[in-house]
Amino acid sequence: MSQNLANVQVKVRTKKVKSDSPWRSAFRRLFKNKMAVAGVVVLAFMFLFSFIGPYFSSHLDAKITVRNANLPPNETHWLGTDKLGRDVLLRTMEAGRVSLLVGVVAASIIVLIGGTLGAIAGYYGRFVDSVIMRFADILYAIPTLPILVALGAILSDLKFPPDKRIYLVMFIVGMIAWMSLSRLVRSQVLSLKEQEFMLANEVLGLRDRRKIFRHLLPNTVPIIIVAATLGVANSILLESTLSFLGLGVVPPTPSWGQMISAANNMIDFQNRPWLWVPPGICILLTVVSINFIGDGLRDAFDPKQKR
Amino acid sequence: MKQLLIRRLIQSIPTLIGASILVFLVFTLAPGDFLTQMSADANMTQERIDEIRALHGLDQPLYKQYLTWIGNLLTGNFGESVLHRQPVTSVIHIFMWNSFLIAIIVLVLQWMIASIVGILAALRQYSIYDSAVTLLVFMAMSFPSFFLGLLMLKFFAVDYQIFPLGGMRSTGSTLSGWADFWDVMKHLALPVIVLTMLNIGSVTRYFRTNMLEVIRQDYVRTARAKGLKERVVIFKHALRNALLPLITLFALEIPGLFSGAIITERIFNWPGIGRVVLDGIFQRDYPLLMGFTMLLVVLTIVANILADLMYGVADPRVRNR
Amino acid sequence: MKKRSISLFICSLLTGALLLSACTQPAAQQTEQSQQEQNQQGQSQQEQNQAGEKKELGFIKATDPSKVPESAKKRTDTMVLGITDPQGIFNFWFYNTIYDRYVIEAVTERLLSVAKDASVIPGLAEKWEVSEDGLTYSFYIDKRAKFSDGKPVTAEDVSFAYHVLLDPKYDGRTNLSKAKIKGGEAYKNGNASSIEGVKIIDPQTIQVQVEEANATTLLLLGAEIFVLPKHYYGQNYAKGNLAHVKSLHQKPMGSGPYILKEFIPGQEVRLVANENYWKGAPKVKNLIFKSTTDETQIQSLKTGATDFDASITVNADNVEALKELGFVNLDMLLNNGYGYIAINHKLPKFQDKRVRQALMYGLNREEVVYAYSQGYAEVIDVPQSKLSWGYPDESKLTKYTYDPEKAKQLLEEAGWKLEGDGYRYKDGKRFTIQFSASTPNEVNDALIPIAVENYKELGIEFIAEQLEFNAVIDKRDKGEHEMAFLAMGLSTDPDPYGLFHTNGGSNKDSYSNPKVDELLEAGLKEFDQAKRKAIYQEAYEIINDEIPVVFMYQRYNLNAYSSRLSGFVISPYKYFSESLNEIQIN
Repeated sequence: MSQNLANVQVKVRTKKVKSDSPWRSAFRRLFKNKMAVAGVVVLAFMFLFSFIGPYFSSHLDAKITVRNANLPPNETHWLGTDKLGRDVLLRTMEAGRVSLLVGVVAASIIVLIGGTLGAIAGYYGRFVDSVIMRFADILYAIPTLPILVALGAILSDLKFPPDKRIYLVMFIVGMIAWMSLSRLVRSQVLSLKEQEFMLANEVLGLRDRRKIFRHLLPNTVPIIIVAATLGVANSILLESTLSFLGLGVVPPTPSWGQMISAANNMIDFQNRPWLWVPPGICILLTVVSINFIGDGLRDAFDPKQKR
Repeated sequence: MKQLLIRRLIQSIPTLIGASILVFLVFTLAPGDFLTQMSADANMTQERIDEIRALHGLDQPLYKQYLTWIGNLLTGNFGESVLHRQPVTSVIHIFMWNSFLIAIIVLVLQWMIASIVGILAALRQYSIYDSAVTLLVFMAMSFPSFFLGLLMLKFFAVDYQIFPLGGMRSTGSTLSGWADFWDVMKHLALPVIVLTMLNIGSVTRYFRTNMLEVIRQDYVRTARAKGLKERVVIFKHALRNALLPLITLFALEIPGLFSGAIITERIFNWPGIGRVVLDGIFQRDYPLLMGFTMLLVVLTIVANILADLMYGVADPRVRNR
Repeated sequence: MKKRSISLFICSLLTGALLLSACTQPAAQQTEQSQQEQNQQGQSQQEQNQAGEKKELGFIKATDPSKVPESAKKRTDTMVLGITDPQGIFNFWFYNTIYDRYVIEAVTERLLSVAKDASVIPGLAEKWEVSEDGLTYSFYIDKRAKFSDGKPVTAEDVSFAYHVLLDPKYDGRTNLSKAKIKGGEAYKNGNASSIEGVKIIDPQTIQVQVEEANATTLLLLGAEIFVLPKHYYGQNYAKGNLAHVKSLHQKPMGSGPYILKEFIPGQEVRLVANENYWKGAPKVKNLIFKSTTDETQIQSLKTGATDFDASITVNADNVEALKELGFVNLDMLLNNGYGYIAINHKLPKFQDKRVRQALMYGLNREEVVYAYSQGYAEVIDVPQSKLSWGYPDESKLTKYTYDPEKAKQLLEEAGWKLEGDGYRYKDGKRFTIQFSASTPNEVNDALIPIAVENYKELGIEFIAEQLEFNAVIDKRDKGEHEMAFLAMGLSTDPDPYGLFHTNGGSNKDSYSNPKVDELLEAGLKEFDQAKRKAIYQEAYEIINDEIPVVFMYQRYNLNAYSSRLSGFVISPYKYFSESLNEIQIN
């Protein structure tokens, strides 16, 4: 527990001493962590692959040639073609634009809302806690599908441009998934706030906001990192459901989730792995690299860790 | 403790009212009702559809529909499922226990395996074992679960025929007693394996993270310094503290025991509630959906009360006010 | 968190097939199958598809019957038929899905049946008569007909059916009001204690008087009426009290070839042969309807878990996989329905016929249909099943093959001028189409990308949005759609009044043409089939020219059965389940 106290003291000093701040040393530690560096490299690659890659493709975007449907990988189509004869490699690259954004933004929202509300509920307790947590209970129990169906119809009635709905989707994905994180953070805060270092804060007379965001939340970072990495994977897959309900991207714009789910039958599964392996591997690489970066960050910010 | 329980029970009354209003609104706001698809029927006319709507009280103003529904609910009448034309309670009763059977076995297996795998991964952080576990966990998460289901079916039910190809009992089975139990177990094996593999991931991650946190704490160091055996340190001092945050996670899984697993039930043709509810959503069986959702709300509230109580017991530092 | 979102994700995916089948086969009357000979006949008329080669259609015989799996061979007195999970409403008066109907038809029977050419043939009634004025229908019940408990089927039971279907509290999908039985309204909405127009002449004869008759009246009074025993269902029946009838959904009784023994929800329905069946005991003693899912239907046949499946989607992959099994017979039949793109005629831009024709010419429908079906669906230019006697002479119809130049010319004539940005404008407004696509739907997956590209070439901006199926239907019901892809199921009678008459119940696009109205009214009033055909020919020629909707395709259905079974009677206007007594194990 005294380590927490140490942590606080380090952080209190943060702003005054510029030369070798904990931030810098943290980053230095981060970049010594091979796994984390590998994560950063892979993630950067995924972004380049998706955002710049398509410009290097010789195939036409969304060009449908039914005669070329379901071709296995060959010289012209390195990863084969899908059931409408489109180049899978090109689509995998383009799909990344949507999926990466959705994954990262949605996970950030989950962390932001879940973390903040959880911490506030845990810290203030009593009435605030009850309101936030009971609200989370209700949201948690109500099946999200009908809500999304209704929302899709409302957007359609409002003539909200279909190609802009993706921005909304990122928020929706975040909004429907923050509850379990908030409960986890709350329970941690409940026990953290009874610890010595918080007493120290009490003595120092810090403001609530400072106590919550500078001292309580940083101590829940490990759980938040797990939730964030899980959140990225789930959001990328969830996006395709939302698209079905009129809340996501519209075909022909591809996303990884949609590409994978288009192959959800025994025959494609067995005979045409090129349809689902590439997007699956992309999701895997993204999630794993984010996880390693997360782990690296946690270790880097842990003053006791001397890696 | 008693005080907390009483306070929470009182609090759950407004929660339930709020939830019921929200549930009702969500379902009435979704476009269409169970007659929408019937209107495509060649013999249907608008007049006939209006007649049927009136018979089901769907022509009433919203607040009246709500009051009727909530009034019936309070007397234990959940209404009649329009899809199955049976009382909602009996539809839920038939299918929910099938789902529960799988879910409870999965829950036990999942927590047992996840705790061992997660703790070992934490103790050997950055070892090959740890990396392999991490990779496997994320692989299960990156590919939708139907792939795992299809893979299992292909190997164990089609190619080698060790397990049956879905269902809950053998077709036309007249078995009873132990033979019947054994038959169900054989059908249950594949969905349980798949669900356990899928669910294990996130719990493993949380176990690993919490364990990593705990073993860096001073008291663990102190315990080690005292010369205690490593096993004692880990299982007696560290594990107990690592488990604390997981109480919440565990409580969150309780409603899931009753809500069914849609994909797995479908791929393995298991007669569970998940499939039934899904059909209900797409065919607008509102009485069934609203009744079932309210049941889940109650379960969620109860589970969370339990979690808070357990948390208070397990961690004396937390003062429940 | 994970469990919830993943299941959510899968939700829509996996119901895809369900939704698709729900939207193409919603109607009680819809029939699925066509006759094999007719099929081959139809095949010769077909022209080579532009997009790809045509696949073999009709009947594909098992190549190697010896491959029947051992586990199936062991069932010597039992057949297992795979169907999508029934909901357990085994009463024709109240059922929802065709899967329930399969079970219903095994247990109960209808008053009149329908032959493969859609003409009416005897069912429980051995004959029927229509009076001179066409307003009185007499049905003579077969004297041999009896329920599974041995009691005879009587006029009393038929009368009971009419009374339940017109009961003020009746909320099922049969719409007997359309038959306009004399006194029916008074019974339903008034004080009458019985229906005046329904008279029991003797135990085997029932007479029904109607206020006005049309070509569909006989179907409504006979082919749509399943006769259930009053002594079983009718205990304590009084007007407005259907509680007892409704309590028996899972314990049906009737005059059919099988008796329901046990219903295990979500798993199977077990039936045994009705040894007293009035047409002779069925040849197979035990019948099990087993619930199967899209993912494992073919595997179930392969391992011998099922002997038959009625719910397999027709596409190149599935047909190939089934052919590989060797012991499976494939019976492919044109579906009695069609796919189309609805156009909202309330919008000024769609009111010009030339614009609608341009939308037909300017869309490469062959490519869309091929991409969706790999050749297992046919492009259509008229909204009628090619198997119906009401299908018009094709030589007098316009064939809308893909012709972007012609489409551009038509748009030009209609006043839509191309501007510098590549889009067409009229009165300063750009030509845009908001397309509401129901999801998940394989047709839309192929249609949207092709339509975006094709219509862009014409100078039309095609903006697609995706919505859940009910949301699309709801939007269209309110008349707020622009264009939407949908599928229509047709009934036994070719009458398209509901679809294209100004007052038609299913005419949700506000299509209206006085000449079509006139012809459709005349077609309904006429009873002579040849004369009706001539009237519909004229109507379809107008419809073919007017393009009330963008016509897309008529697809195929598939019944796959193991060669260890034979005797399936599969005809265009009947389900296989109506002739279960004919099936035998080889």
